[in-house]
Amino acid sequence: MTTPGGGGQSGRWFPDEMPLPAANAETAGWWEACLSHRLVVQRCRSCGATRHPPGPLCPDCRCLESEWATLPGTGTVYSYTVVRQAFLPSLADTVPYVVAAVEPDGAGGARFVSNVVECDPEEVCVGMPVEVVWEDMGPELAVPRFRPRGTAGDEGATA
Amino acid sequence: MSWNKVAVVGAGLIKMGELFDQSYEQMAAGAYSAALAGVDRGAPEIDAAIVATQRGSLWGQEGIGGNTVPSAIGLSGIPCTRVENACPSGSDAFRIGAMVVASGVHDVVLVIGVEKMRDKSTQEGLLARAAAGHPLYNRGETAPVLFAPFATRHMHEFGTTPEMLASVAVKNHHNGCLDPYAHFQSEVTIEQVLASPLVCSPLRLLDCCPQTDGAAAVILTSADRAGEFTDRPVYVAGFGVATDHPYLHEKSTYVGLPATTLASSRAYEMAGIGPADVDMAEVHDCFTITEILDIEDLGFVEKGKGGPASLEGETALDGRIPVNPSGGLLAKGHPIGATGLAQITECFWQLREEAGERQVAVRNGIALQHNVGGRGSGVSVVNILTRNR
Repeated sequence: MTTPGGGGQSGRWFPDEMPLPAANAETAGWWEACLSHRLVVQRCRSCGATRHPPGPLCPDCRCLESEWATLPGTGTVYSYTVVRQAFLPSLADTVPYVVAAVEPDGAGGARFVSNVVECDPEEVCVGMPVEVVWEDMGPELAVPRFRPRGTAGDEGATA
Repeated sequence: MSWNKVAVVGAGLIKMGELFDQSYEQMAAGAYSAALAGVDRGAPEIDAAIVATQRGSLWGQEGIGGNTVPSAIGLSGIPCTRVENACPSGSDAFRIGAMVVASGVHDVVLVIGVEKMRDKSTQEGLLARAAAGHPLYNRGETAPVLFAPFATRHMHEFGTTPEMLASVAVKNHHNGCLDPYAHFQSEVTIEQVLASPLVCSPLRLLDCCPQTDGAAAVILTSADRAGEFTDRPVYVAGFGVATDHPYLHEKSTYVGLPATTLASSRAYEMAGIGPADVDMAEVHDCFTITEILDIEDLGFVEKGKGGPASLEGETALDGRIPVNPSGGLLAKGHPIGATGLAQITECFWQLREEAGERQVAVRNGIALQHNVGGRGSGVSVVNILTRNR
């Protein structure tokens, strides 16, 4: 069983020294959910449309009110690239790594740009089923990454 | 009916490259004098200038707003405004310059693009900036990472192959060999492109444009006054600008850039033409995949057919629709603020049949210039030029 929001699977894949994301007023709620390992998407309180990245106003109905809807934590790879060059010195030991646009199940077509970890980069493909895993980058920041669903040793792989 | 209220009466650029031996102002002066030299007769008195520089923050230009340029080129005192609108900064400056002339406020406007990409190292410059921007989604991104997922998806949906991508680089490097202003002037083969190092799969080194310093300038005046300066003006037939969601998260599609489709439909409507009427185009080929997306989004080929069309030579100098005869960003280079104006200069020369060995066949007298940029594709600008009054 996959826990709502992706559960507690976590690990470390990227170095502390890499540039880290920072929350602002608009995205704070999304990051707070991440900190408790809950994958969420912003949903309009009025029409229910989802959007990502978080924004101030619903592009469909212009409502200013929104809420954070918890997602199951599963999804599929929409597109990806394997980064082969360490553009940033802090990532020199991390290349090659996968940057992917993932369509999380239940997010209404919104896409999250993240990384696919715990697999050979050559094996990533469009349409690959994935699930969220959490990388605790510090006491105040957890970043969602994704791994192939069905990774060996994962008890929650058959959601 | 084309808009045709404004004409280009002079255009020019400096040799693109790594110009460590020239200051920003020297580059501007070189482009200005090249544009003046391109005027057939008379000495246009410049009433106002628009400066396009996109990466001023790389060398301390962030606060000065382009105002060192008029002083440096002997035009101190004129109104001058800097335009910064991502990769289309130069093309948008051109569009704004045309609107300024059409408004009747200023009669003769210099639009000049100047960009220094190389004075600071990649680490200190572009990569330092890559850590800035959106606090959530823009930490450490670089341009190849933004465009590679478009290529992956295009390959997945339409069967586009690495050879098709490579054919764009082969063509543009060939054209660059015929352009004395191009940064790179050597041929590459499909095999060489496919053997070059992977940067961000499927994009390899030779799928990517270089970092280039450069400057270009055009002189605009009203269509009514153009005859004072030349018998062969090139008119602004139409233009269009459109924005799109800039971030990969929120883009509606990865196999097209909707801002380009929207900008070009506006430009075509204003010019009263369609894509089949265009004789040649200078488009934004920051990566090989970008040119494939462009030629589809601009309506030159059907969606999904950009790869085969490139491989089969439809966009070559002697093809059905020659694209990037100057060598494009891939070979001529991409000095961001100058890029659009260098493309306009190429269109000016092609329409006047002054492009030498890389001259294309001019059938309808219509050329199209295009840039897209801003975190990949947040804004697109299309300008259409014609030699037909």
